[in-house]
Amino acid sequence: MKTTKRVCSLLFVIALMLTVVIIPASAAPTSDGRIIVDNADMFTDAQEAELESLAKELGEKQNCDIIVYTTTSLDGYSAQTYADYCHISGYNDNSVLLLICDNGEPGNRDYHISTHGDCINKLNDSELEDLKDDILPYLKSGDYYGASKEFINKSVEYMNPHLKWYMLPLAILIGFAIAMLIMSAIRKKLKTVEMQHGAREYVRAGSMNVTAARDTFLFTTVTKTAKPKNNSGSSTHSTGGSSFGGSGGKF
Amino acid sequence: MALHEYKCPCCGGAIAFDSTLQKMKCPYCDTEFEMESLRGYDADLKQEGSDNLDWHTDAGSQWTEHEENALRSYICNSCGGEIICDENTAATSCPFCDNPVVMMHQLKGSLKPDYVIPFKLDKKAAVEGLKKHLTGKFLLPKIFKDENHLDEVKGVYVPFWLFDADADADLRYRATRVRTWSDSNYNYTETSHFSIYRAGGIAYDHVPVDGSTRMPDDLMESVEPFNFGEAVDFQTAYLAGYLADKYDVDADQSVARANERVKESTVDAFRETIKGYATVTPEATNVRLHNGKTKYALYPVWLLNTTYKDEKYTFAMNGQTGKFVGNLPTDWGKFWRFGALFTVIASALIYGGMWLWQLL
Repeated sequence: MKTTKRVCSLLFVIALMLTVVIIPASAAPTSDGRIIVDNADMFTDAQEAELESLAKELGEKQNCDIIVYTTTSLDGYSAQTYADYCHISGYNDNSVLLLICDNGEPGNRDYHISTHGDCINKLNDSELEDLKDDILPYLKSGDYYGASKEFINKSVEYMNPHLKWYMLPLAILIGFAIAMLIMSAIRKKLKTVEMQHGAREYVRAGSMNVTAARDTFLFTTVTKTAKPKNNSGSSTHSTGGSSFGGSGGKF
Repeated sequence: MALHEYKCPCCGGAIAFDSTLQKMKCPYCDTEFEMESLRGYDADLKQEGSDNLDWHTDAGSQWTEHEENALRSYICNSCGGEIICDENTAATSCPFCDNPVVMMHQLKGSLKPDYVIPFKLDKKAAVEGLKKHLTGKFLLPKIFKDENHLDEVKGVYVPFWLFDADADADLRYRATRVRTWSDSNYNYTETSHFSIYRAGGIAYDHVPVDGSTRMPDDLMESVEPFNFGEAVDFQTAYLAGYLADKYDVDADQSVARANERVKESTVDAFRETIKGYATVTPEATNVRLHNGKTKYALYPVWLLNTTYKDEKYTFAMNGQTGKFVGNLPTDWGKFWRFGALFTVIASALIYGGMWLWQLL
């Protein structure tokens, strides 16, 4: 019992170390451009300052700019094109940008996340979807500050290697299933009494002869399944000659 | 009723079959006798045995009719004690003087077995067998070894029906073959279905079926196989010193089980001639048996009864090959403790693997 406990705690320590080791430490300077551009005046000055320091601190660790851009009109462009244009000028080559456009028509307001440079690879399509799911509730309730803060925090989290929340319970579930298979295999040794299958031991040696053997082909069925999509990086498009990734929607 | 005891021609003591020597041996004067030489002696004794021992088993009137029919009582030739046993007991030992006795009456006429496989392993080997059976069992409660006490160890000649048969089989199986390939967008799986026909013959010798209802069928099938090559023509002398039952399930009732096993094996054997398929499932199986022959034989089995926490556990050992069987209790505390440990180890490995996959 004592040794069991000891082994358990040792394993937990190993698991903890695994999670600590994977956070890489790299520091590099970013460009001087303003990274919180509040054209729509959605934030108070204090909020703006807070977002800026948060985005700057986290962005330096990732060697990229994290930009929040607010506006009241897209000036006739699509949200994607508008967002892509936003972070062309004066930022680090690697950047991720959240565009929030509040035109005063609930249900028809636009938001868009645009990635550029290394950030295209660091945030793949499914991570972008997760990011959208994270910020959409804030946007819908009109909490733009909350949405921006969530965007900054979560985009950095998703750029780091991470596992989805359900991976741990899933691992435990699979682990439990494997453990039960092992234990029942061990328990099977205790059961030695059962009716026998067949009478193999009593076949007269060499008495078996096959007088007829026919293998007839009947028919064929074909099923096709879509290939799983490549997991690294997001799908890209080109705006103004350079390449962008990203995703957006209405709220 | 006639009761038989093998008297030592030397000293008059009761003699028994010795499994190590494969001979009869007198425990009092150590004289050994060949089985063959006892054949004549046996015949003489049978004639002597026709004494007029006319006594009444139904003297007491309180027995119910069923009990009366099921019980037999004998007078021990050595000490005069009364031996009471049931109608299926063919050999036992006297409870008063412990001399081995054979109930000749039970073995007469149509009940005489064709073959017997003599015991090759003795009581010591059976107790040793139990000890070995209890080692190396990880989930067996530790105290089982110390706390279970051996209630009874007995060598029993168990009646078996042996079936010989030639089987003719017409078998149809459904089989599939799978091919996979892929292009840039899809993975394709092509399954080809086949109908497979096989016909032929296969023969079986001495498929045994337990002929005694007192012996659990699964226990008796589990100590199989017996090596029929060592079977000898039946002589009552082999029974001396052991218990013996006579059959109470007749051959006609037993043949169903033999058919079942023969059919299973036939389907399996022809299944093995079908190669190169991903799946093979029997669709129609037609097995006909002919030239069926039935033999009646006694096979040697050691039975051991133990008690642990007021529950009885029965073990059986093949008296010829030493194969030892018997279900054992599980230590559930240990089961869940180690289940939890393995869960932690496996989960940690899987979760670690997920991280590794994410990092690479």
